[in-house]
Amino acid sequence: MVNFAEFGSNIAIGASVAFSLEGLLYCFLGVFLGTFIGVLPGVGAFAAISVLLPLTFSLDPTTAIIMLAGIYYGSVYGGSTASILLNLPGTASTAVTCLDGYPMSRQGRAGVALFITTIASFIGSVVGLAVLAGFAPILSNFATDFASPEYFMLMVMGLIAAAILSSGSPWRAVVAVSFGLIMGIVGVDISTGDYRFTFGILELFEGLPLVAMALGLFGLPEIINNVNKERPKFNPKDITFGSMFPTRGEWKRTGKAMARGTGVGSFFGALPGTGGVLASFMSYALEKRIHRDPSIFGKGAIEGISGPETANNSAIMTAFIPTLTLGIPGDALMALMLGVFLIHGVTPGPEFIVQKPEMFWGLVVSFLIGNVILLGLNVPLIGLWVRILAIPYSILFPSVVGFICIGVYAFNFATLDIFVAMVGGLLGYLMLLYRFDVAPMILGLILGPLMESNLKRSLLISRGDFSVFIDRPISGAISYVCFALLAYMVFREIRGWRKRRAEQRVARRSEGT
Amino acid sequence: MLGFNKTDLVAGIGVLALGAFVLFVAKDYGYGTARRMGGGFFPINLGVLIMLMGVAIILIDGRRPGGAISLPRMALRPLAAIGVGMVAFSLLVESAGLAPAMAAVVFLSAFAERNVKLVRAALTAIGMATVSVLIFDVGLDLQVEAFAW
Repeated sequence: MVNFAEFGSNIAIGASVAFSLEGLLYCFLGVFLGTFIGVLPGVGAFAAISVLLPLTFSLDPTTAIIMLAGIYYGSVYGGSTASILLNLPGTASTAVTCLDGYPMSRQGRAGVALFITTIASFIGSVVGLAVLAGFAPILSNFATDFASPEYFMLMVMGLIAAAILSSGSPWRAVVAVSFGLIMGIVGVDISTGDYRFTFGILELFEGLPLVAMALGLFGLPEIINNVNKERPKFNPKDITFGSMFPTRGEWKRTGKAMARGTGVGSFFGALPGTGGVLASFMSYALEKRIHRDPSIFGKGAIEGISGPETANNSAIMTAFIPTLTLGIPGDALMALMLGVFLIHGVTPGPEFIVQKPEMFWGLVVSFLIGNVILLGLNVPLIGLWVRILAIPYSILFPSVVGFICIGVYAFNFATLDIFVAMVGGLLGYLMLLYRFDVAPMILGLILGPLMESNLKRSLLISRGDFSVFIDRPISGAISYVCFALLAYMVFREIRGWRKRRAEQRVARRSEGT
Repeated sequence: MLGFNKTDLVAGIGVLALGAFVLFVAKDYGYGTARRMGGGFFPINLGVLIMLMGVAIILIDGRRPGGAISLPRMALRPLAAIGVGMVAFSLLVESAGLAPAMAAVVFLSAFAERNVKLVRAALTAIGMATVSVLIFDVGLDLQVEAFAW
């Protein structure tokens, strides 16, 4: 299975790349800047990467990804800090941390929460990285048998998974996904040469700008929604170094939650279509379900942070697996990473690890270095990040809008992109109000053209026969999973319906007496 | 209203309209056959799916007991302030430069807050303009000009 000699030499190759002066410098820079931007509430990993993307254009591909990955996990860490201290998640995947992290800080235990988050993030990342290093090469070998039907069904599965996790009803999620797919095919149709859904706008011929759309959809609605609401305040001086250490009992409970978190995170991160968001929610649900006393959740239970934070970071690492070995991004962030590879002329896929081992292993080692830096950096620097969060929101939010503008503009120097971001913001806000989830839509947007071309190719080869998706063994297996997921979705809906009917009956009966 | 949850009713109608729009545009792209997909194959199927979901939203979500009976309130002030700010940025960034554009969007967006403090907003705007010029123009050497006249 794992050939240790080969593994050792791979690590050596990777180390030579990652430990170079450039590799170390940009790793550090990425982690630091990423954490800084991630700490800003409402500005998540996506915004951090988009705004700092121009920095990487002059770098070689490996260094660019090293830096961007550093920004990524740095900003996720920063996001947890915002969740704990301000109840405003910096990134979607850290939203779960608000549930118990914020109550903990209100109880004066913010230091403990932050410390646990740092440790959990590190452990989660290391384990996820081990899974990446071990599993990706194996999957690459396996995936060389993949053809259009397999890719198509994988994407369908990913979209169904995203739909299941979404907070609204299943039909709303399907609408979000479908509309995302349509937005994805805006532009020129490669096979026919026709322009679709462009309405004569020149800048749309190459498709909707992903960065503009995503920044608008993710960054703006939250500001619009929150700006005139009550905001919690805290005193930075309350968080001292000494107050950070958890009690012995807490260590034990935390440890087990973390172990479970790595499993949950590694699994869900590796599935295409799902990433840190699902992983952290699943971990929270798991911890709550198996705990002796579930009522402590939501009131400052330490397992409510350690499990999800670990899962989140494991998922970040394993999300690179489908992205690098199959070329299918797990979520919007991975899509951006994928885009960076493509800009630099590198095509991730089954051949990637074999053809460019120094790049793959360089990244693996660098991720390890980055997480060590994150650990070492953040224990002393917690005070700095905390002070940033103390900046009044009335100064922060206009600055965030400004950052979004320049982040969007700097991508392609197209002023139209700003309008796209505005439309995205409005759309995202309406979706927020009418209970539609945005994440499935973004995934659809990214996968749209890929899905269509794979569908086309599959049907071309099978001469219009749809059974090709079920007849081929791998594709068929994935199809069965899809059916199972759909059945689960419907079943869950019916069960919720029945439960609510029963509740209503009980309520009516008690009113009558 | 007729026993439907208003939010879901409006959402469903919006979705139906969306699906209809997609079909309206995509019908001209040619459906083709399964064997040789036309440009419209994918979007038309999606459009139909969207409309079906719209019906589901109205009939199933709309009748769900305990759903949202009243319409959500839109925060018009933030929408307007941020919208105007971003428009200002897009108009100014190439004609006047990064600094004025940044100052404009930051200052105007600040008005999203109901009790906006003008001095604070102005100072933030100037501060952000300076910082962004330093980071993006001087630091990153991005192709933007601080002042373009």
